[in-house]
Amino acid sequence: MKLTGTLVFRDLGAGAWVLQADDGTTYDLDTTDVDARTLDRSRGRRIELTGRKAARMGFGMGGGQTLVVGSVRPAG
Amino acid sequence: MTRRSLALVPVLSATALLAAGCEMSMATPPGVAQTPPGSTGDWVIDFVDGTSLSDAQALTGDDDLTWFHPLAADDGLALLDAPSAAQVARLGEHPAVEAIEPSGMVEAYGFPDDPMYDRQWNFSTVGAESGWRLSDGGGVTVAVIDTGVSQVPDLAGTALLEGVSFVRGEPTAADGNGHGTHVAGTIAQTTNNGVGVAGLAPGATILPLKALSASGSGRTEWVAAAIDEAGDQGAQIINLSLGGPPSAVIANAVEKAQARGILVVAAAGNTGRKGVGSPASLPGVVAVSATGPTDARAPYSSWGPEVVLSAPGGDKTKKGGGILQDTVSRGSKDGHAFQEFQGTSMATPHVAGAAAVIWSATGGGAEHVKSVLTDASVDLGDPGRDPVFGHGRLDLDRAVKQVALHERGLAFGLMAFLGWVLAARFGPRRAGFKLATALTAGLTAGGVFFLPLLGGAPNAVVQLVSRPLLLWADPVLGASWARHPVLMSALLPLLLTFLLGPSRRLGPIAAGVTVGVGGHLLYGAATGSLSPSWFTGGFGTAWLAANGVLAVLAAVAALGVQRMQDRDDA
Repeated sequence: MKLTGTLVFRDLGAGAWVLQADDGTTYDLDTTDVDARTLDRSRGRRIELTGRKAARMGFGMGGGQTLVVGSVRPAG
Repeated sequence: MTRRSLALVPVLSATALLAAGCEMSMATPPGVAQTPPGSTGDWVIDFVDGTSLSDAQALTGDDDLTWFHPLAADDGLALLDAPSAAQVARLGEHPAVEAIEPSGMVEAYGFPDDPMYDRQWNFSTVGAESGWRLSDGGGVTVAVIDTGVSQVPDLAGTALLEGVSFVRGEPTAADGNGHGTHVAGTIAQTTNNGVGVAGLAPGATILPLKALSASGSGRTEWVAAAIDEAGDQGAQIINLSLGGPPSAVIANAVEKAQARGILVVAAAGNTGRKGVGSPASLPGVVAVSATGPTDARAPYSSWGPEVVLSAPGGDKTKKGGGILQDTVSRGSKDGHAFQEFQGTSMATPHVAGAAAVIWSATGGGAEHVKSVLTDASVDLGDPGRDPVFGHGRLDLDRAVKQVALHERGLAFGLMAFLGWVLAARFGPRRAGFKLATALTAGLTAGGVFFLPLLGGAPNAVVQLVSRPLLLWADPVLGASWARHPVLMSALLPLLLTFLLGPSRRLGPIAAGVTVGVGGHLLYGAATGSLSPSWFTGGFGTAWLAANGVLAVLAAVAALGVQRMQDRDDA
């Protein structure tokens, strides 16, 4: 799936990423397959990400649906 | 001081006293400059900055003189071994010497001496210093199911088992994120080592089980497998600073762990609203919410009826309000940094660490430790248990008082009474006999229970002698003996009765120890506070009860022998 929204860094634990999607949903992100520098560059910015919904455990515990992120790029 | 070396305490104490006596009575060799007691015998010379080593050697006449540390060269600091009084006087007058004095020992004025301890407001809040006086968590293994644990410098003295990784693509349990190591630090950071910060249970053993990847996420089956592994490796406590959607696989793993007697502690979640996440919301799990430096609910902390306890999780909206520990840091030159984190992830290991302290001091088990911590917590929010703070905010100071007074003190009183009654009924009519038996029985079952309450720097001797005798196995013999059934049996009492029972002088001591051990075994059977290994379920209880009865009968026999001897003597 493709989603656009704002990439937000939550200062929890060692740091967790969430997507505040344009549809108003907040997703916890599993960023295992994404380069950390890409995430840092996109922090607070609008992005387009590809990913899939999955059940994941994590320390962010933001309560949202988790997306396993495939790619991140700046939103047009 | 390692636990095994505690067995040498009486020998070392005697040797130290002897050495101190020798030191005081030994005269300084003639001609050598006098040094005050407590000094090392060397003299430290502070040369003018920039003095070359060759000049310093020429001045002192010591070709072997060297700077005491490579970094001391610029400051001109060197040590001179036993200079003559004339040499000290001459050097003291030389313009190239800024100061010369005996090298003395300095002492830390407080415990712990970790230089950044004053930034750990969270440990003051939960009464860590009281906990350290009771126990360092020795003999207890805490499984940290997380992003892995790496042995950063301030974990160098902490017992870290070889970890296991369940994360695909990450074969070792090394921490590629920082979260797991930080959590492990709150539980068992090496403490009073002159480095960094402290941990709540520095004597506990950490079992790293990696179930979250370097990005902080993990599959449910990884977490479930890690929970199973914790049980397989004999952990007493599991720390789960993680959460996610409800999972039957994880629920089954948690239930199995609890059936094995493991205390499972988990983070309530970081939604900032009502709704405790999973696995914290599972039955029997100690769900932990987070508080900040003012004991208010941390703004990010989830809350709900499943919350059992609250503990400091940090609040970085307040300066210095995070939880500070040593952890891995990819951005740091040497790979680690002391970092402030916040989250219910950080609150959870406070409870796990406190549980390790209480488990070590009382012999466990899970329900007993949980009840001590919940009974002793500080009731915040609405009176009684509430959804925000649970039973209350963790308080080790109150938990220590509960263990020392309500458990050990009570055991002391009960067994002293039992010892007195048995001695009166079966023992000889000898002055002081009942008192000696009663006191010994009390000390055996309750230890010198009040010692941890007296304040002062924690030390291993206080931790040892304030314990009941049945809980000496771990600090004296090592963790593998902690719950050994042979040591939780009537064997020692029977041996004492056989060897010392007939002794006029030691008879009351033997009887008292036997009463104390027997009474403690029976108490352990009744309350579940003792759980010998090898046995499961009711067999352990039956073992304790049978041996308790046997020990009490042995005490009666010892007392009877004493009475008969007195009659014969008469």
